[in-house]
Amino acid sequence: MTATRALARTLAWAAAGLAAGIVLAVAAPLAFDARPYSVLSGSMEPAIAAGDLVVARRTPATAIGIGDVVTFRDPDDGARLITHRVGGIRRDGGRIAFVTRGDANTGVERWRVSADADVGRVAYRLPLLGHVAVATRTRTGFALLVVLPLLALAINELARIWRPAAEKEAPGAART
Amino acid sequence: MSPPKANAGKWIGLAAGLVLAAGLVLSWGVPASGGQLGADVRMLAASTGELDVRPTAVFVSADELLPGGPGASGTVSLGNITGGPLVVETRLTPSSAALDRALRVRLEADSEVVAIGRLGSLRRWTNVGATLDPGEGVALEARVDLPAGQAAAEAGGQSVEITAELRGRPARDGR
Repeated sequence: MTATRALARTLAWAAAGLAAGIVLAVAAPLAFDARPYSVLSGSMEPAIAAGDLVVARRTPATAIGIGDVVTFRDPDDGARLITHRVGGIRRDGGRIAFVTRGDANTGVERWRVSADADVGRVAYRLPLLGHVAVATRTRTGFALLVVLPLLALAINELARIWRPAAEKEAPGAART
Repeated sequence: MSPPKANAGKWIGLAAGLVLAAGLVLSWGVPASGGQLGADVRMLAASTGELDVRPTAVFVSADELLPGGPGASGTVSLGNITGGPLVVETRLTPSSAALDRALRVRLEADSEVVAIGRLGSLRRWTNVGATLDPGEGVALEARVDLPAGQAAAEAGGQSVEITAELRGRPARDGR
């Protein structure tokens, strides 16, 4: 194997390691009470851009502090999730009232949770992966980003299985 | 089987990729930072009829009041429109109790402090220390701020409209 080919092979494995690490960063938190969410708007720019994927870990509401970035249900539309920064916290009997605002926004959201509830505190973001996550929810995106790579992998594996046999047969055939 | 050198290259590459991924994820952390919101306060005056109050609209308007910050102030002028002397009283009615423990209110009549305290303590009628003869007037200044402390920390993002009700009670002994 030439030095160039060896280097190319090492770099290919490095790329595979990088991809595996990123996939791990998305998938592994699921085992530790954390979930990934796609960010669809630029309301938290520049800290979080539209199209980023954020990983939020379930944290007791009492442990949330001013300045934390949290993911919560939109008080006006329970089906929608919002990721914004906490700007105000007030204990109100057995409940905790939060005031949140996007870094790029002027308006605020006010919402309350029970004092023993959990809130998703954002730990880190993965740039652009939100676009990928959203795309996989469409038929075309799923075909391009999941089915096609799996198919390519399967074809590659089958080729690897068949190739040695063909290579073994070829020299013999040449000899006769 | 791959030669040992090729295998070493594979593991070194894989490890380098994983370390790079870990480094990137660490650098993409979203730390808590800043974010403390201020409180929005509006104060408007309302008269019960014996007093001419100007303006009757908002006379103190503060956006993003922060704990330990400079605060805001505004002045309203009162005039006795009755035929007898009046003792002026006020009470503050906020739209919510969110700033009752946090917001400090200071009232001055003709530059003399007549009442100072947390918003919640000024919900009762308070004598502003002015007795007005018929036709006489006084300037009432209101100053609001958020002294630093736990209560002020809980004021972040709150918005309260305070109605300063003003009334004139007939002075018992004339002036």
